[in-house]
Amino acid sequence: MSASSIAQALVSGLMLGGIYSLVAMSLALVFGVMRVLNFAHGDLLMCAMYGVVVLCKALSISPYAAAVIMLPVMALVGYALFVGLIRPVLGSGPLMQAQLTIGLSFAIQSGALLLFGADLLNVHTSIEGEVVRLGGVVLGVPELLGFCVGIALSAIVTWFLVKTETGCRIRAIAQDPVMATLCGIHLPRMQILVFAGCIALLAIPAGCLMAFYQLTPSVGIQFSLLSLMVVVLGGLGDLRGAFLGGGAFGARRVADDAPRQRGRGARGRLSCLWDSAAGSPARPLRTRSGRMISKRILANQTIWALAALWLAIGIIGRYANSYWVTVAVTLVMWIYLASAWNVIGGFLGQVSFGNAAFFGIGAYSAIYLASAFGLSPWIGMFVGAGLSAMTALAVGYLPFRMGLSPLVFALLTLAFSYMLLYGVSGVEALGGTNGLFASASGQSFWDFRFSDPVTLLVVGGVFTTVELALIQMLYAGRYGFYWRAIHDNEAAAAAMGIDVFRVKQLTFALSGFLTSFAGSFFAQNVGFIDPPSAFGIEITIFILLFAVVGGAGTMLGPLFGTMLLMPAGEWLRVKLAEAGSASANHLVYGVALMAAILLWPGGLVKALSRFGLSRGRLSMPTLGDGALPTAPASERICNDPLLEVREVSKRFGGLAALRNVTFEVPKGAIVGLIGPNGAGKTTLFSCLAGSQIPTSGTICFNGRRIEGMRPDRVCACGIGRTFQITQAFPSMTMSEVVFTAALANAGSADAAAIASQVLKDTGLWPRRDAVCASLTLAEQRRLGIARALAARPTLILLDEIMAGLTPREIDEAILLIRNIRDSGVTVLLIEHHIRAVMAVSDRIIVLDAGELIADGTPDQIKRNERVLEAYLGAPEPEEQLRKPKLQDHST
Amino acid sequence: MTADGMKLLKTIFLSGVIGFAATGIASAADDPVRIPVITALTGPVAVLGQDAQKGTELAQEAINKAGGIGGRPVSFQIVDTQGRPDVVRREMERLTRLEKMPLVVGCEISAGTASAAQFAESAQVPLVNLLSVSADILERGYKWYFAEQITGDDEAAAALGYLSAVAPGQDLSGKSFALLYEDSPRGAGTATRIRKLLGEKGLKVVSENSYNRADRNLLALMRKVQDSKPDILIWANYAEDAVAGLKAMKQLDFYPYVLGIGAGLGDPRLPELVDPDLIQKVHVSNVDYFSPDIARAKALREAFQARYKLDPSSYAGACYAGLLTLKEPLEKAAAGGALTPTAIRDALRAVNIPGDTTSWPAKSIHFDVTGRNIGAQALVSQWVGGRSKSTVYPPEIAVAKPAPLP
Repeated sequence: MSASSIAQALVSGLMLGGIYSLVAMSLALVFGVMRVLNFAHGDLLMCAMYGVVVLCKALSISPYAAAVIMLPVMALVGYALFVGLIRPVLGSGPLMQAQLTIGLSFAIQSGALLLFGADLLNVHTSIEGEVVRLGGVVLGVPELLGFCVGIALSAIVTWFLVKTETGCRIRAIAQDPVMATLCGIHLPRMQILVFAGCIALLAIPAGCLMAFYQLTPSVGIQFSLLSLMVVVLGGLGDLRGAFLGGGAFGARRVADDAPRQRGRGARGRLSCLWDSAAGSPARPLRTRSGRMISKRILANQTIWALAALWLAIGIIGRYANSYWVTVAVTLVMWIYLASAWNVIGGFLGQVSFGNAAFFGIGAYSAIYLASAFGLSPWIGMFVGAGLSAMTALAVGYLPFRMGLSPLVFALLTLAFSYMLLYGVSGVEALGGTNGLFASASGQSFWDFRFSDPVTLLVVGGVFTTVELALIQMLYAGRYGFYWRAIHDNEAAAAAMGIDVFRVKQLTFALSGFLTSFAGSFFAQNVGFIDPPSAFGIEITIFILLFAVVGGAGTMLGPLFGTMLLMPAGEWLRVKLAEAGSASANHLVYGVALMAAILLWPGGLVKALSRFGLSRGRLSMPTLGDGALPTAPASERICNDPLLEVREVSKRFGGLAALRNVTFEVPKGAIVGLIGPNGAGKTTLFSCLAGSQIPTSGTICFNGRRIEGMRPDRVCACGIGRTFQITQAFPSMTMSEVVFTAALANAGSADAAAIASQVLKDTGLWPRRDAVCASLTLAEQRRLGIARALAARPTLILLDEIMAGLTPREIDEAILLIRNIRDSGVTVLLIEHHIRAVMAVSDRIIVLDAGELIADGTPDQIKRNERVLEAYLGAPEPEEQLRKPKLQDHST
Repeated sequence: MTADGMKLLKTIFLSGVIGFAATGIASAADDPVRIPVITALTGPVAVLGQDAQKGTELAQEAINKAGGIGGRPVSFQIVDTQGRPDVVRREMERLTRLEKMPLVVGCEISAGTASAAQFAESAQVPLVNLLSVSADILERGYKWYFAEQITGDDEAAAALGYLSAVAPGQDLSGKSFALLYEDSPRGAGTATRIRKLLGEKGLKVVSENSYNRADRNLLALMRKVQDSKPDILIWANYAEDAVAGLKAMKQLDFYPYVLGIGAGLGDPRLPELVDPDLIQKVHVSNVDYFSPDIARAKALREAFQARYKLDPSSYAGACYAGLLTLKEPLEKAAAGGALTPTAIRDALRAVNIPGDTTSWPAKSIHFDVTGRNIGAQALVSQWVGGRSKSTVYPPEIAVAKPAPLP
């Protein structure tokens, strides 16, 4: 490839990137302000493009003029969509919103097909074919114009957001909608403005694209995925990132590369990958105790659901026509697939858009090994499942290890499935784009081909039963608590000792492993696979659809969602085809889907909760008076001092949050840590607890170096922590949270005794069954302490546990801290409430601007000149001590 | 949304579902001979199904006008498969086991046809393929699969045959060839066969490039092709990428002799999408399985133009031509009693229809034991003046002389 060819590819990519950026910017704005991931964004762009074509042909005008006319039209469309569809589900969580927009995408695609047919449409302009030559590089004038318009409009949007009052309001909402509302910004009005504005903005790239683009009804989904990739690539909700991402993506497209996995994109901070990866090996999870597999399982709704499933299989197998048996086979397969996805996407909250990859690996393994080596597809099935599990471990490693946003993980998995789609297409041994045939049907069981679909139904039923039973067993055991804790609050889950990385990795591997079996099953059932049918995005879309509509994160949601949507879709498809309206299938399906989501935004399981359905109960043992274990989870052999911090510094780019901080915490002491806002107190806690890695210096705890350790490892060493901003677990009860923390550090029987004791010690016992979402601030603070204590720490780090409490609650907190110390746990606490910290502390350390400026007894600190100057700020410290300072959330 | 609004939405939703169920869809009368035609009416290849539907409607009218099947009217029922093998599988099950159809016709892409052929074999119902050019399916040894359509091998042979024919006396070895193809099974498979044939003839391939059909800007790719300085560009494509590629050629002032394979460059709507002068300048020729200008397709062309105001595409033409040829075997099968799958299969095995009595460019319709139509042959059509197509190869059906090679 010559240098000019390379330059041509780069420049052509840049030209496209200018337009993609504009599309991505409007998606980023909607996401930034409303946290709505709009999967119909590309379809709305397609609508605008069709509008441009219609106007061009009807009025004989240029696409650029048509784009201007389309601006108000698209604004109206945006307004109507927001009011009718988006606003009702704004509080329903991103997955449900995403599914709603997928329904919209179906409807738009199908509507376009009905209105305009599948034929290619384009627009002729006077500048068509015109070029500008720069050296050896050729630039198409329409593309160049699109690029310039993209740049100009991006600049205008940025100027609007930065310089105008409305723009500031929008940015304020993106930063913190609650605070923005408190500041008097009318949130609903601004949301309408942003959504309608962003959809209107699509008219411009639509006009620019139609100057050189060929339009069909299937381009919408491509643009949607492209803009999502661009937005994630550039940094979520970041406009400059969206713009840069657009340029990069355009270059990739034209340079004819396959999609690659990417990390944090243009603004990525890959350097922390290696820092983070250098952590200690993960602590193995303890195996479930036999008692956890208890009679509770037998009383579980999953058992009833499985019984109903087998009854249905029996009836269908015995009485139904083979066509309906085939539909039932497909139904069972989708229940299985949606349940496998639900493990990672629902229970753990790490949405995978790439389960199609595992499906494809399973499909290809079974067929390829059978056709190339004569191995039974049953063997291929297990090989594929093993391969999928290993692949999941590889794909999940970086995002999980680096703690990347779930959305980045979602897009990475999507990119991975695309990579396999294109990769397999190029491998001749795997049939390339021609695909592979399964061996002929009607042979033995060993060949996994059955001429009678009832056999296949039974096999599918067995797979689904085993899968659901396995998931139920895991859910009823240790993993159920871990999944819920990580789903609700990852940082706090790590702080309570759960090895988040390991749990995520194993869960993703399990999801991949299970999904792969369905791929093999599908391949043997259909008898032929090619890359689109094995790795296509539709597989993932339908998996998500069934799971989310049923209720993601619930045991039976995938089952209910699939049982409602899949037969309904099949019936609709057949009936509409018989009526001669096959093209309307997706339109009706999409509209029905949107209606279902609007009616039951929490999913079917939630809607059916009045009939006794639940998301699946955690298998909590009865808490009571069980004997405490003789030896706590953490080591009690302490050196004196317990904690030694030496020359610890932490820098964030040019900002030094901590500078050469050195101090010691003796065993059995209560040490206060005070300092003005921004002094670095919470950063120091984060370094001690493993949430941050010091730039330099050492931290020695109990004679062991702990700097750079992951939070769960630090917890295992015997350090518990609370958070400045209370970290609740909205879906769990208090006893479940405390039990989970105990479980992460002890066997299940011991965990129950520990949880009971801690709940009593912290005064939470009477309210132990309250759901965290309903707690008062004081209760949340106490729960934070209880959660930390349940890990049986030697040292507990308390971060502003008295902030926002009433005087009486503060007195109770002081008493609690003393009790904690008396029970043998050393205490290090950050507190702004000077009266309290002076009263409770044996020693006080003072930080200012990242430096330790004083270390001494409360009396010494009260009289320290530097402390008075930097923090207490008054010549009469006694006066200050009587006036608690305002709560600080910024450190 | 207000509570009243939600109630209203619930009422509309539920009454819609119930109403739709209660209304039902009127089933076709038992009287006509019902034949299902599976095709992709929706999805990424919907253009294929929508064209096939047009051809099917006209074929049904033509057969019924000619007396139907043994006096009974025929009713071709279009079945949407979305181009997905799993949907094809379910539809095959429904059509053969629930609807008890004795025959299924495929106007389907290769992946869907492969899935259908597998099922047809296990269900023992004949499947007649009218569109897929996959040769792989024929190599599976099926007993219930019949392909009237040409294969990728036929296309490759026709491409090379045509190039030899337009270069009488010229030595093709002095020419440089570039291969360009979209990376679907259709494009990649064709490229493999062409590459093999060019290699066998010792012809020089100066570049080979592929791309995804979804890419709408091929400027940089075409630049790579241009840099390789080919005399002749052999290009497997669909319509959207063909248009993008031709536009890129114009921007680059790159005008090789273009021989296309597939649906793109032969699409009758091409002059509406691309500057006709450009089409003329690169002598766009296309290997195809149908062309509306051949004498034997006159009836179809006239009917199509009267109904749709344009020439039939290759998809429409192939479906029309293929469905018309089913009249004879179906009548033979019906003459023996009931129209059973076995009777139709036996009739198909015995069929031998002269090509010039069909709308196909075929020499005949006659199947060997693998189900291959041994009389199938591809044609090459060439755009004249950039606005209309003329069949230029093979000579027995050609209506015009091809433009010589540069």
